[in-house]
Amino acid sequence: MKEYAQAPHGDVSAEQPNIIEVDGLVKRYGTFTAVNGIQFQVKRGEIFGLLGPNGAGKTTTMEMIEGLRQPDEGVARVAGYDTRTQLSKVKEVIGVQLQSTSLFDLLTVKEITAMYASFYHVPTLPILPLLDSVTLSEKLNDRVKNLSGGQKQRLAIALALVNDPQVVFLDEPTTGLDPQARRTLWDIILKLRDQGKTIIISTHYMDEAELLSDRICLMDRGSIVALDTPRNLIRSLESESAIEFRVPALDTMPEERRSELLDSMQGIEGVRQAEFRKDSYVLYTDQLQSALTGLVALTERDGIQFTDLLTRTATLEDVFIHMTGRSLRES
Amino acid sequence: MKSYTQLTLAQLRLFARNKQVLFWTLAFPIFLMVMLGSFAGGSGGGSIDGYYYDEDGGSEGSKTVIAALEGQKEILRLEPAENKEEAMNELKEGKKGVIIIIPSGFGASMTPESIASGTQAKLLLYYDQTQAIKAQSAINAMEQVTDGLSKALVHYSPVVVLDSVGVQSLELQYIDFLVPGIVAMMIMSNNLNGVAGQIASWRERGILRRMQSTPLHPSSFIAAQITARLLLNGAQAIIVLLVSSLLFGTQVNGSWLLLIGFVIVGTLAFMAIGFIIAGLAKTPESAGPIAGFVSFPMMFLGGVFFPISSMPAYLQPVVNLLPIAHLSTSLRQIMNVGAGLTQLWSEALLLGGWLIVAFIVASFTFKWE
Repeated sequence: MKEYAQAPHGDVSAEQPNIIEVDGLVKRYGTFTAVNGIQFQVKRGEIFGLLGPNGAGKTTTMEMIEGLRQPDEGVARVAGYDTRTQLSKVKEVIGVQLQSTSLFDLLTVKEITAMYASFYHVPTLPILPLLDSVTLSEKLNDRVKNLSGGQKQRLAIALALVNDPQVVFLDEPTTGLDPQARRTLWDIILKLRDQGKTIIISTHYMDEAELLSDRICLMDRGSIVALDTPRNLIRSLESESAIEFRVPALDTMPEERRSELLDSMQGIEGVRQAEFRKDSYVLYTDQLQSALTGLVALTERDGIQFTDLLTRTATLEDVFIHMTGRSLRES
Repeated sequence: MKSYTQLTLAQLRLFARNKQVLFWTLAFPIFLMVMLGSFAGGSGGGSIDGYYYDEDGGSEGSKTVIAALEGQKEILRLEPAENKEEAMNELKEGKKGVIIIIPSGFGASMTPESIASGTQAKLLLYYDQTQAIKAQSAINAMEQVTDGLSKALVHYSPVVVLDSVGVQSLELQYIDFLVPGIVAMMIMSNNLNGVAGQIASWRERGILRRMQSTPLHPSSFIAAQITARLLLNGAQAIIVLLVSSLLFGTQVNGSWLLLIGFVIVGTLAFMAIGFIIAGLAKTPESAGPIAGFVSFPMMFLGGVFFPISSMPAYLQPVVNLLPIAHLSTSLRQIMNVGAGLTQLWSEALLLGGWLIVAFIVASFTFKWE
């Protein structure tokens, strides 16, 4: 198994120029505001992750930058081109993999790649090496309908690369794929980064965002909740570890007793934040040992049984919950 | 230009590889043709409706003629006309297929004196050219009438007689009417339903959206669609014509070039209507019913299976605006009567009008997403 922890984070030189500039983008559908005045910049060569639950506005944000949707307010610039007035220039320098694209099932991999290549006026990549780079060269003459889910997704990425774009947009590229296919795709994405491509990737998998992204833009309900490197985001919790456990007697406990319990956990030395989530308590701490000792002392004093105790390092999920009060998986 | 070529190629490949669709779009018209061509006919298939008008005021001669006409009532279903003008108008409108006029002085020219002087007694027959085969049988029947009268007048008795057994199949006459109608119907359904369904489904599946994210211009996309469908339709029309020619011996009496010209104009007009429907349909599921709502009535009102003239009078103004009516009429006129553009300019104009208006509307309603 490959070691992914080595993926470089946050080493994109600060001197790199911005290739994408988004300022005050708003998109409304009737009375519903899908994207509510977001602003960020992406540096050349960066993998920029949009992380958030379904309906957070990730896809709408990407599509406004791609020029597929007209923003109601605000400006998006790609490589210096305004998406409202210079869309045809923008389209030549970007590559897009859409969340729900299906391709012509009855065409072969080679035919469909040649077709997409014909849409561009800029020089396009030779088909064979391109398909080889997404490990599809063996499937050259296979029809799209005979490809597996992962192969189709790799083809979609090859099509996004056919014009040798400066910026590649990947909208939830690994959704619905099995773990092996996801890893293959991650490899491809990291390789693209090494080639100097700027990549905007949306995902609702926090492990994927953490692994791939140089910077992560946490989105919820059309707004940016936080934007930083994965490490800094987790650091912002000021807690390295999380302690989770369940209290079986909780079901029979009166409501005020529960909050009393939470308050007393909050008071344990070393615990920065105590939360009750679904059926578990979660304690965040940067002093794991003293927090654990305190927890044991507290439960013994009050005669509380706990089960399923585990400790782990804090994740982006914790950041998201801390910021929004909701889990990434809820939506 | 290369995107146009690639997209045309892609569409042709999609057609060629979708064997089931390819088969059924061909099988359906051929099946219809064989079924209707074989089952129809029979009741009145070969007879022709018309009037006779006696200008000779009930003379002996005209009475003889009317009696002789009665002997041909299997083919000539005639009624006496009240008014010659009205009768002629009905013929021009296609409501009647034939008018026989007994001119004034006809009886006088049948007297022995007149015959001896070598004067010929003349009957007049007006017929509808669009019903060429029926008209031919009407003419044959009338020739028998005049022949019989002539023989009776000169007391001629033939020595050698031909006892012919009629194997004239009435179906063949309907098939000549039917085949151009079926070609018109095929053009309508392949384009109108085909474009509406396909574009709506491509939109739903995000295929159009993906193309929209490239510099591809919509005009290249639409031009490629048009080219591929013209090639497919042209091929299908020719296959149906060949099959009908092999199975039923139908012919193209007019110019193939003009026939293909009308196939092209019809294809474009219905394709444009299909693009409008694809623009209106919110889901691919609704595209089918909307296309059906448009094409189904046209199939029955537009002279595909039944002559337009057999439609109720109050529907005529509507029917006369339908593109299918003009397509089926022109194809029929070219194939059956060998009509040229000089006779068909009004049909060409109306189809062209539909084409232009529909394309303008389509260009406003077409959406990538």
